[in-house]
Amino acid sequence: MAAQLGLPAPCAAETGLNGSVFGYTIATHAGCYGYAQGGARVTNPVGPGNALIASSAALGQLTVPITTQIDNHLAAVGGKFSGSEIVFMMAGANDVFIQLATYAATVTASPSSAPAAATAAVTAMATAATELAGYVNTKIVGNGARYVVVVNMPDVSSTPFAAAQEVAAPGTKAFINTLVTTFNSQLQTLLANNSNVLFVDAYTVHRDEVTNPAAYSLSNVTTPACNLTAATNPIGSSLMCNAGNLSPGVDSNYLFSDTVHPTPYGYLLLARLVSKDMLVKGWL
Amino acid sequence: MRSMLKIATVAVAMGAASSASAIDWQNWQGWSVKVGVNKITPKVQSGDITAPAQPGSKVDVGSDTQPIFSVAYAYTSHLSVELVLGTPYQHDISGAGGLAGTGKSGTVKSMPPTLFAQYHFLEEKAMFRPYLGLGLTYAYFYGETGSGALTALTNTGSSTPTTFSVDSAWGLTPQAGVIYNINEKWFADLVVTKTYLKTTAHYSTGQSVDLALNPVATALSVGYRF
Repeated sequence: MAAQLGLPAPCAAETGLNGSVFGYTIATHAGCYGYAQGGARVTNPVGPGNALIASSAALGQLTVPITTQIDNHLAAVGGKFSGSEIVFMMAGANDVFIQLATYAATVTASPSSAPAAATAAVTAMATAATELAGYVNTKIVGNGARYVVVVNMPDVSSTPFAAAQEVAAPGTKAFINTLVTTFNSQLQTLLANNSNVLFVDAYTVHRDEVTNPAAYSLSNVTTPACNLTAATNPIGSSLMCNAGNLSPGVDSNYLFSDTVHPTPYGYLLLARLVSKDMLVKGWL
Repeated sequence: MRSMLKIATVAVAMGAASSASAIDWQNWQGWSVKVGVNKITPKVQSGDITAPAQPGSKVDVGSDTQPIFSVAYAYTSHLSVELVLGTPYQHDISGAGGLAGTGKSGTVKSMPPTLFAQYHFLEEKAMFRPYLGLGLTYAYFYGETGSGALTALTNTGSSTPTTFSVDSAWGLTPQAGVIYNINEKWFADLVVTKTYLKTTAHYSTGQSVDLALNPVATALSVGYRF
């Protein structure tokens, strides 16, 4: 998006890992306003990949949540937006993954608690959406931002991750979709009256990409492009994926790099959608 | 173009030669010229822009009004041929369908010279003379210029602007018009033409879109018989 706006590419505000194995130094970078963090949730500081989760203790993603990201920016710029910034936001999927993990753990411990656990997960997603909308309306627009692009959550139920979950536990795909749509509809409702917010429906386009791949020049919408075997990619993630460790025969038009994240081409398609909606809104 | 100038020169020469005598209405035969304005309004039926694009991504082409001039030769009081030329048109291209509201994606210029065969009804000296014609149009497209919006939509994240070209094309052009004879020499002419014109726009991203432009044009002119 920076190229379309004639700006330099944004740089990361905070980098590093605090895991027990990789242990990259944590650093903040003055003048850099790219706050996105792998694993970040809306409010809860412990997201997927965090050192406090046993399975990712070695990795230790910082997973600084959205609310803290906004606070960090406000602290860096004197507490107010100038009104000339474009703020891009996208969140929620990491809350879905945590809710799914919580649900699975609860049901494993006590199968009869499944209905209550499902309800709790859906409620938690609605709460996360309410919180995110509140941050947008109050912390961002309320502090002077006039151009806020909020991209809703792509359809996590259309990912290779969801397909594998569905095989393991039929019905999971529909459950994931419920979590996603609950979040998205609540977010959309609460941002609907804010004229400083552009709500981009990535969910609908993502579903269309999966059902209608040829129109998007997508060659594969079901299989990760990265070779995620442990020998090649110890953390099974696009984080450790590059052009040198893709699966054999992969071309550049795969939709998914790992089980949930888009490839660079998938992100390009998302950027096109954001560009289109910004043009319609008159922001580009 | 050089041969057209020759014809025009001949027309002027013949006009000079014949202007001394009154017109023989019954058997009139000869040259006339017209000058006027013409509004071209494309009636676009757009295909979908080819992949990678969201399904239903279409384009629209706007109208333009420019001066025209024409040279006609009447073989009889009823049958004539007319060559219509004009200054270039410039059309705005915008997003439609799934791209509705994205604004101007570029402009294209066109030169659509058309050669008509025409049949005029009623007698030559009638005050109003309706006529029908059928023409052959060559639509020459050039000067295609893409906008920042086009780059944002088709080459997102790149600082390389997207360019495009529009295929020039032949089309059939029926017309219906009426002449109002002001006097023996001068007349007014109102005519509506429809050109059946298909073309393809090619983008530098490798995408393309098929377009039926099928413009309707309305021209109001003043003419002079030599």
